[in-house]
Amino acid sequence: MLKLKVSVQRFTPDVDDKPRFETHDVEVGARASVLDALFALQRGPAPDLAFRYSCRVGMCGSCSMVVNGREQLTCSTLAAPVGPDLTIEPLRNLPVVRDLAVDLAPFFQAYRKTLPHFTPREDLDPNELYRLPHDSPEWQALNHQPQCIDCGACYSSCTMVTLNPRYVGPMALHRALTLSVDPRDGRREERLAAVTGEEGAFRCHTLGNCRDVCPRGISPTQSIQRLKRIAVFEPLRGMIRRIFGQRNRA
Amino acid sequence: MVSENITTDILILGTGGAGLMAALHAHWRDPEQQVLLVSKGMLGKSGCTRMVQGGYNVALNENDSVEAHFEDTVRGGLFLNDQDLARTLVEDAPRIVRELENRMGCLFDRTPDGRIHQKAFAGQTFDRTVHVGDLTGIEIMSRLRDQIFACNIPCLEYTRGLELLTSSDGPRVVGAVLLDIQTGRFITVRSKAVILATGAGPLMFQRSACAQEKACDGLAMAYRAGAHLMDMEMVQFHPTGLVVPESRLNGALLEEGLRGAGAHLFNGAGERYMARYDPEKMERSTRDRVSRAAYTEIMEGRGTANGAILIDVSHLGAEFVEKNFTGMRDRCLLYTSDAADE
Repeated sequence: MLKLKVSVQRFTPDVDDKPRFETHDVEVGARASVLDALFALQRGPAPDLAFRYSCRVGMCGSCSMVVNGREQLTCSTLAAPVGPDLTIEPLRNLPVVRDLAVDLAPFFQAYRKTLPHFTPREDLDPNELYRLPHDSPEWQALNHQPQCIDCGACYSSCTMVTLNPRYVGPMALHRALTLSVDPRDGRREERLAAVTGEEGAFRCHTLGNCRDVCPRGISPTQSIQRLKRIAVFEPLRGMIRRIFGQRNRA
Repeated sequence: MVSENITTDILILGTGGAGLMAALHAHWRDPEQQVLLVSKGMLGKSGCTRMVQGGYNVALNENDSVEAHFEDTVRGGLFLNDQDLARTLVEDAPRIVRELENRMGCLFDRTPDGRIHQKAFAGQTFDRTVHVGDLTGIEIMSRLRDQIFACNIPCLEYTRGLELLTSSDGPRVVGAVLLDIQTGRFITVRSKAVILATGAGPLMFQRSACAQEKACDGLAMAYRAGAHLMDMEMVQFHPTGLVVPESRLNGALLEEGLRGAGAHLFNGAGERYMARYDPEKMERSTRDRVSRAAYTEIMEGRGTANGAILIDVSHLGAEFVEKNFTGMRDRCLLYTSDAADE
């Protein structure tokens, strides 16, 4: 068994003036996750503690919180290495619903500004599966980073989001790159225009917090840098395309 | 008590793959119809589609056929299947995979020559599983969610269905009563049609691989509204999952593709016990047989100290496992070692 001293932030916006910390001792299994420690609190000294989770295996991205000052996916973080003293806070840069649960609406609203959905190119046959040989420039240009689970850790860690809440943030830009380099998508120019303004890629100062905290090992910083490069060279490409009529992708 | 009334055309309870596909198709068929999604968790993050690791079976290759897929399916089901449903499943699969790729935007893994890669799953006579690494569900759910955003289909999140409303003159469903979990507020929805896409109830079992929302809500509502439920004994258990003592990780999935790729199963005594249950196919037997075999071994006292069995992939080579099952390997490394307990 593992003995933990867990401090959790408690806050009910309509009732409390400001957040406060509550500290409890709990015992969990030797290989318990931080999420297991929260369950132990809920079963014992803090039955009304509010937090969010769903899949328990690091796939849904519902349970990210700030553990000992750093964004973590609590289901996939063992308590022992970060313990025995745990301080658990809700994600930053987002309004608290209650205790450790934040409202992710602003995070997804920012995402929705970036034209995040796929629109098939009109010249493609919907019955054919697009050929993407590994040695083709199109395949090599794809964003081959691990899949994003939109957990919000990067958005919480980004100081540029803190300074300017209108900045769409790392996750939205990372996904915008993924679609922008997808040769099947038909709205590349529009999307690039939407994500490379002042509230988009060029707001990033490459501090790399997002890369440091991403539980999936993604570097949004790298994706954003690539978006900046594409944005700078895109007008040139457009000109070449107009002159030579070629399809040319980053 | 605070409550709210909403009127809509199509009410969809559940936001896994089924719910989102239903919403998109309803919207695309007639954008004038108002669609309202209701999720017990968060849009795109709740339900089990998100948790699919392995992938989906579909006959795409010229050397494969829908007929062979059908035969594998009904043979695997020991001919207990509803064959009309099985036929629909295998015949629709090629169309749906094209739709997921070409309309929703999923990008499934490719072979070096650029065609869709299909990997081996147990119980299949042809390698026909399309996938995105070993985290296929995340790709599908994210892309579907993005399309829902694009169509501006509204979704009530953290809202649980409580009861279906029926008309006074007969057994017609005309809406539902919902509960906003975050505020405790009741919501009454009137609608022309209600689609239940709430999944089943694996949480009634001590160990399950599923997302924690799936508590049989939809089936229970339908039953209380007078629906007949059929084939309720047909609960599918995914045969392999990770057991971590005293953790909520109980049952977290270890995907089908592991056995497809040749993983071995051992009981507490170190025997490859599948020899007793399906000597020909061994670990590549169908899910029901592998699940029942493991259950029998554990119940008859041949399990491990944790009340489990062992799945071993070490002979496949660390490099192979790391390349093909990255997500699974990361989760196992976090908790245990090479061979994970079932």
